[in-house]
Amino acid sequence: MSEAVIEIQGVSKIYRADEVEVHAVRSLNLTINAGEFTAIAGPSGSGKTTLLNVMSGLDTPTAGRVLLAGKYISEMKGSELSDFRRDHIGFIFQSYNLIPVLTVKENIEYIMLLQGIGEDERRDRVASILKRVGLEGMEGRLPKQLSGGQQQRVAVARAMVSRPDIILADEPTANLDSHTGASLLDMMRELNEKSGMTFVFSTHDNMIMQRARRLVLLKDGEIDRDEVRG
Amino acid sequence: MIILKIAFRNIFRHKKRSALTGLMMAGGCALFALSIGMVDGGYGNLIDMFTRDHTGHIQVHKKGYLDKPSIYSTIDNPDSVGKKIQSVAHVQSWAPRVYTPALAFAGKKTTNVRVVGIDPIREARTTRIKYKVDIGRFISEAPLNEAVISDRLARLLKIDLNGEIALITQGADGSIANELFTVVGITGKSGETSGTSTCYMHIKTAQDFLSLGGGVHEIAVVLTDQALTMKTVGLIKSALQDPSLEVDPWQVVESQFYRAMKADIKGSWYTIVIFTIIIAVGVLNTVLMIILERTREFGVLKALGTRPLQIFMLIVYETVFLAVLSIIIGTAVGMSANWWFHEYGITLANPIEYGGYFFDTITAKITLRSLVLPAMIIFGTALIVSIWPAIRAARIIPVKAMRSN
Ligand SMILES: Nc1ncnc2c1ncn2[C@@H]1O[C@H](COP(=O)(O)OP(=O)(O)OP(=O)(O)O)[C@@H](O)[C@H]1O
Ligand SMILES: [Mg+2]
Repeated sequence: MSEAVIEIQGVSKIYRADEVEVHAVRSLNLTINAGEFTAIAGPSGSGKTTLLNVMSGLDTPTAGRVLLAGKYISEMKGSELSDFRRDHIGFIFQSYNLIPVLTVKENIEYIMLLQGIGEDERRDRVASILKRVGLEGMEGRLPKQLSGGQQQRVAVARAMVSRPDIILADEPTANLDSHTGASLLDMMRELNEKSGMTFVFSTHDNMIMQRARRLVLLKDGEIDRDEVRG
Repeated sequence: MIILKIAFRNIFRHKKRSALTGLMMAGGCALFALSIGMVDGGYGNLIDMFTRDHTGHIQVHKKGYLDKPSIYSTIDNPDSVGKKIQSVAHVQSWAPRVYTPALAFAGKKTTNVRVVGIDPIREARTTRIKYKVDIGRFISEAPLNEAVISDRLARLLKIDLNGEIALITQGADGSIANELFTVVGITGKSGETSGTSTCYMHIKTAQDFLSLGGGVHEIAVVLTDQALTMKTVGLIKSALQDPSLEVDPWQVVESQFYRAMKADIKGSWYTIVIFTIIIAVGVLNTVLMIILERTREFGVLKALGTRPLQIFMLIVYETVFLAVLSIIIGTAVGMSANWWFHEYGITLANPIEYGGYFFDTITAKITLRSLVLPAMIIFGTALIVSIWPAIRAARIIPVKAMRSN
């Protein structure tokens, strides 16, 4: 097998609200390997979002650890965590979340600018990624001048262009109609196959989960099934 | 740099709100520039008028004379003292004076009068007394028994030009001095002398009349610029090297006038402070609104790997950019207004009286501080006010922020 990108080691997440404890994730172990195209599926409330947030360091686990690129992200804080996320994780959000005042090109460049990557390198990478997500000629547009599907393609480009170790996407297709969602997923899978980029995305849509090469099914915060497909 | 770019574009995102906030800052800046210009111009004029009327910028007396004016407290070598004063930098001119209270008679009328002995040549170079003569002429350069009297004295004694006035007082030798003078001029209705009964005569005539010899009671000094007063007091003191003499700025000589003026200026500063607070609250409100509205956006930026400090700077930049734009506009408006009021002044329908002077126009002055201070106040206010919201934005927790909305 190929090497592990992320290791989730006995992670639990308990939310406490008004004396009620919700076990969103229960002592979960999961390893994501390089180059995988993994769907985390499960009914609403099964802990998909919680798991992804703990994986990215956006949320801290109540117990257990998350190992990413040789470091325990679950133990980082402040600027160290910011920089680590910037350099190792790509994000795609359900509601696109592009920066509204920046153009397509500038949105895609954003993380590279934070990283201090030079202008020539940025230009080459932006040109190549625009072609791969099928948005050539739209680099000067603002997010509000794009359709939802186009905006999500920009988000995919933004996540990929800084060459992170893994791209995490929480319900990337939930705001799109089924056709647009399916084609976005197809594009992501193609990028995965061609570049070897590791993707983990959550969904509760059957059509979407069929497109994954590995399917992790959650139920009440635990792994119900973990199967590798074609 | 990308943070700067985002900050700059965000200003134009809510054009109306930015315009309103900016207008408030620009308006404040313009108002401050104008009010400082008016304070500097108005009080500059006032000080000039006041000091050049008769006080001068600096006065030299025998020690103790100011507290207890006595005919015996004289400077006995006025010419050598004057020469030393003249050698000090920024001194324009000086004039010696003799003072005494006297009883004045004309026909059947009697009144108290202040006799002022002046050197007509030196006085003309130093103060405006000569130019206040409205009727008749100034006293002759030669010491004659001529008098120039104030309008009030003329009315009290019902005396006219070429009339005779008898003065009685006690001389320095203890004898009763008693002499007749011819009225050659009457000073006008404006200025300090309008309210008092004053009788000017040649300093030599006064010295003889009072048996003072060559002694004088006061030396008034005028400088090339009133702003140099305090500095020059020290210079004159060290030039004179005479502990029996007292050198005082007009602020001490006319302390009552100075206190009233300072209280007035303080009032202008209070106005500025109050407006600054209003602006601060307005700007704070806008910045807090921005934080609230864009919580989700800041959460996303943070999730993507933007450092907390970069988010903090984003808010500070946005506020400061708007402040700088406002300052540019506000300063342009404020300084144009200052220039206009400098050229044309504000003409008052009813002249205001201040310390015995009448002002019918107030002019502004373009000073460095009227340019720099408002800009600094607005910039500083915007900067300070943005800090707390910026800290809040920097501390936003992405998962919470992205769940909101
Ligand atoms: N901040 C929170 N405070 C309290 N409980 C929470 C919080 N976030 C999530 N939960 C609870 O934890 C459980 C898992 O939630 P999570 O959002 O991870 O589910 P999900 O699989 O992403 O669901 P969905 O498909 O609806 O997005 C749910 O029972 C949810 O109510
Ligand atoms: Mg979810």
